[in-house]
Amino acid sequence: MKKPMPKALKYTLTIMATLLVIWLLGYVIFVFCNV
Amino acid sequence: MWNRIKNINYRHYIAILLILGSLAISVYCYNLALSRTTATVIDLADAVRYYFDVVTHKETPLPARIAGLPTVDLSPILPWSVGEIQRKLEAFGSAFFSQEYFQAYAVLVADVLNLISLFLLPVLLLVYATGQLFRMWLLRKPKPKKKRYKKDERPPKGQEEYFPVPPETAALSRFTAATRRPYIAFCNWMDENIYFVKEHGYYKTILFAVWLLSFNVFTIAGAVLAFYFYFASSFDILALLPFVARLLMDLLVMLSAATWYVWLVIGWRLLCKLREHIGYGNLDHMERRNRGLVRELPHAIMIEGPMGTGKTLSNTGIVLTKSIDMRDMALDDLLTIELHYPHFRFAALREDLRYAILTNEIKNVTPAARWLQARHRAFLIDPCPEKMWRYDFERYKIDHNDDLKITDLWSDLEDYCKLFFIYFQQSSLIYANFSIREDFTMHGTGNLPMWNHDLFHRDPRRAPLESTYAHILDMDMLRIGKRFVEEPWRCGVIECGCIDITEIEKERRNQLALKELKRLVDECNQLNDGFEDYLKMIRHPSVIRNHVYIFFIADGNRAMDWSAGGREVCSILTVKEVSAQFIAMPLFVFACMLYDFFKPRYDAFKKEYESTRDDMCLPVQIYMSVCSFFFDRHERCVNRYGFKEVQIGMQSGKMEGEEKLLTWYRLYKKDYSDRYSTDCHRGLFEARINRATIGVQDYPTYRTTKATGPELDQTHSYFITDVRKKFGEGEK
Repeated sequence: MKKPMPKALKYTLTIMATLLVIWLLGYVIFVFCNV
Repeated sequence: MWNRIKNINYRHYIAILLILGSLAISVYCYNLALSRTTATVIDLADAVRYYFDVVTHKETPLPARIAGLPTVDLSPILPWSVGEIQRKLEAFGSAFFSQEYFQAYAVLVADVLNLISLFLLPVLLLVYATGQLFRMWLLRKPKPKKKRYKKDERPPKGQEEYFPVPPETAALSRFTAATRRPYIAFCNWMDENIYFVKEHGYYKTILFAVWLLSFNVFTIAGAVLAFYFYFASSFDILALLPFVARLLMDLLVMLSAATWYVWLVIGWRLLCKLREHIGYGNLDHMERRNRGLVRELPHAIMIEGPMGTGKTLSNTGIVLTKSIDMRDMALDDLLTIELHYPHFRFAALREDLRYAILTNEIKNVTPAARWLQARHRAFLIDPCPEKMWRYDFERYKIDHNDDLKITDLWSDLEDYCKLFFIYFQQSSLIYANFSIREDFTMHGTGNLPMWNHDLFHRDPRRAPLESTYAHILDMDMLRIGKRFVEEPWRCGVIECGCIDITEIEKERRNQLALKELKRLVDECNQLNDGFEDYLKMIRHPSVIRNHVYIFFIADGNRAMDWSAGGREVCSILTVKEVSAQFIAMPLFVFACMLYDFFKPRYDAFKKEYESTRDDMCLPVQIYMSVCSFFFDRHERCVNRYGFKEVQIGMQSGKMEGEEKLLTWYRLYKKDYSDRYSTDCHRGLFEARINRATIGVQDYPTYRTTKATGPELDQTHSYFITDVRKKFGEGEK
């Protein structure tokens, strides 16, 4: 039976994952422009 | 001639002008996309040429243009040349993992954050402070407003009337009055335009094609097709990298066609469509798993459990899935029979059957077989193709050998007629003692009709047009002994379908509850009606081609309250556990975060506002309208894509043996769309409630935490009465 993650943990992980994706995208563009 | 021109709808002129304008914009503003499209068409032709060179084993075929990078000058939109891009791609891998670039990026991120914080933090503080002050001003207690009376109608001092301000403020009502008529006129005009475009679809197609050309979509599609031909003939793996680079360049040309905020809107819409597509895919997958479970279930089941566990909810979900599955099973069997006799004109047979069913010549499954038998007899009297729907029986086969037995064409056609009746009948396949709503529609263009069993794309506003309801289950139809009403013409109606009985243990009862009844009496009761005997033989009239087209489902609080004669024929299902709510649509967590953040704050503000003020003001009305819009969207999303996993235990009706665990998916859009009423027996209690002469607020209450003697007497409890008797009449 699937158990849902506690909301606080889920929202924290979501925000951290979103920031990580934005950071990674920025890093890819930065490296491509400056290489 | 002039009259003819005058009578042309002016929208034709608007559409032609729009197309010409779009073409002009393509030529003057998007000439790079046009040149790329031209080059891609040449690349595609060259790739096809290469393909045929390889296929015809030409010795030295010329290399294909698609294998290299494009030759068109992309400098207007790209800041680097093609050679520079190639160099960057080659050096990207090592640079990505180097410490130097990582540190430089960290410094850049720190600078950006510093810049943002310089402006953002004071602005945030200002917005917060302003918001709090505005909130305090909104929640102030207003001065009471007095009503203005005419001079001679003023009441005595101290008896003036106070009244609240009307809900809408004057400014908002003036604005809505001034804009309503033009807004409705504009909406009607747009509806007419949309209807015009739908009727003349070629305008839409041409306009769409012109803008796809301007946005470089044809280039990308042509490049993919060209590479497909090239790769199929060469298997040149090394050409993949230049091809990806080519696609990226063409993508940049596409992105340069519009500004970033236009792409933001388009990207957002495409992302929403993708999420909806994945969400519906997940829901369909879970419903298919439900259908697999229903196919594994035995043909008679009972769901038991205490109140509130969702017995009737699961019951309704299972019976809806089973009725859909029965029609699909009938269609599969129809197609199997058609496969056995590929030259038979089944379309003509279906047409005759459809006419016979719609004119009520065929009323049920067995009459469908009799209808076919009458035509068989006519054929035997005069064997000719015309009596067999123009089937050339001398040339083509008239029986089928499946390696188990030989079946005659006429007996297969008999099965075909029965199956077609089950498939084609417009009314529900469900017979229930409570109302169940279905919204399945049949559509067709005169050939094989197809059922639309979609459960998730339904619009509730169309429910009155699309709804059908379950048949009223007359229990006499399930009694083969004595009946309430002896009407033989109604008793043989149920041949195939789903029989659904709720609260069956209250209907049938067990041996203990029925011990005072007698079997050999004139009136009908649970002992002499033969219900359990019918249940044991329920499959017999419903088997067609080794598939059973009958299903019995019941629910009740306690399985042991139903006598063993009926209970042990069924398998007992128990709802073990219901999971928390999940959402089938991906990336819904962001909407949940916003909802969980704003909703409690809105509720707190609204409660305080309503208890402090008795009027309505414009800022709060706008705030409520905006919140209502977003909260409604959230609620609709949850209702459409929400689901729960239900763990069900199944064991035999003898209540012994190992319990098998099954997983059922409770899908909100399917199960909660006004399918049934959980208080379906409310009508039985209404007369009793109407006889009450006092209301709940007049009902007596206890004075203290210790109940007095007279208060205990008012409970009319067996226990209190017994104790009073043992104590005599002393304690009062």
